[in-house]
Amino acid sequence: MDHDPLIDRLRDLGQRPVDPSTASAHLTAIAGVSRRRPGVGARAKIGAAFFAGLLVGGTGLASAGALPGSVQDAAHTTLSQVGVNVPDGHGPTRSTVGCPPDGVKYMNHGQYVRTHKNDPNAGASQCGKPVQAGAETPGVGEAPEPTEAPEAPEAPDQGKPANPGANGKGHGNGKAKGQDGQGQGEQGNATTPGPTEAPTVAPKATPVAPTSPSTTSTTKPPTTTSSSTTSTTTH
Amino acid sequence: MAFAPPGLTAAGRPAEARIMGPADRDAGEVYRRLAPSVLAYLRAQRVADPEDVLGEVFVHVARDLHRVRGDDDAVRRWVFTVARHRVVDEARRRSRRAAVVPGPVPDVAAEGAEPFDAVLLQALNGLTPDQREVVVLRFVADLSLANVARITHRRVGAVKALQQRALTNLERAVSPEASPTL
Repeated sequence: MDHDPLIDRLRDLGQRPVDPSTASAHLTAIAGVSRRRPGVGARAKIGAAFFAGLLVGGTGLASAGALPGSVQDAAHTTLSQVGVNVPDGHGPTRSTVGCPPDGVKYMNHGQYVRTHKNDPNAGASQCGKPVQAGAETPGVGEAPEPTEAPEAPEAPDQGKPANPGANGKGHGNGKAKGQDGQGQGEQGNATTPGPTEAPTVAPKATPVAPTSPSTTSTTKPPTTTSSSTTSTTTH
Repeated sequence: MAFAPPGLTAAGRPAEARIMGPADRDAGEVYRRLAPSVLAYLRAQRVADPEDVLGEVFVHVARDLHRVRGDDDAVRRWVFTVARHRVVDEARRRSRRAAVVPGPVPDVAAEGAEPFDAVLLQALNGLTPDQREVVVLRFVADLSLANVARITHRRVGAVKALQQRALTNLERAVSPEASPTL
């Protein structure tokens, strides 16, 4: 069946022009919408703001040292080139002063102290402490020496009860506390039994020791000191 | 049925610039080219206020035209897809309001405008909604069978069958000896 005349009538229906006043109103509305469309500039601004936020946030995290290790390293390297100092991914440098020379590397001071539970002087040791912390505080630069000094007096005591044969000097070193103790502190610390005697802090204990048996019977440390001295004499 | 030769549309009009980039398109130009057929489509679909809906359709088109990629056929198909969605929205809104004015299809577009083919519009009213949609998209909107199939989510064969039945029914309705009821 031939529908051509009908199809022509249908097509003609689709070609009747829109009323000019209606078309004009529509075109005005369309022009308004086309102008409001966000352009490339707006998108670029949004992208730039996003990346600026990312940069500021990333730098903040880097300066706080909160990024994962490798990323923190990369941030450290990159930012150091533009003069911004952020920590690297390895954390602060740890002191090895006072660490026993057994090859064990301590992550921090807490680990060292936990490992040496029986050593009462472990807390005072510099082993595992951040190096910067001591160096940065003014006037404390000398502090490590006095703190190590108490270890030195231990050195004479180290050899005494627990490991008499290990360090031959240990016995008679009570006199050479200050100077010799420094060097020996590093050597002699290898013997763990030594520090177990640490409560008898030598500078104080020695003057107290002679008086303690007669005068103060209430304080325990003097009694231990006296006992240790007696044991030393028996040796 | 006539088939369009290459370079001409099915209506025999010369094909306009075929490939246009999104930046080249002007919403006003698209309106001038497609508004008459969209308005006729809306009228044939018995939309209550076709001029108003026509404006809504082209505001949507102007907003999203930059996203459309493809040639003029693609733009035409997309514009009629937007119009079809508006028709569906309008039908839903009307059914919710229940304020339906099912009177006869107006035979004038606006005061002072050329009168529409009232007999043909009345005959279109007598078709089933599916037949009416296919025949209007196919000939009033001047879309290909494939594009009508895509817009109406049907197979090309189904569109062909609906078109054939619609044309037969329309022919019967507009013929001088046609009975008042289809």
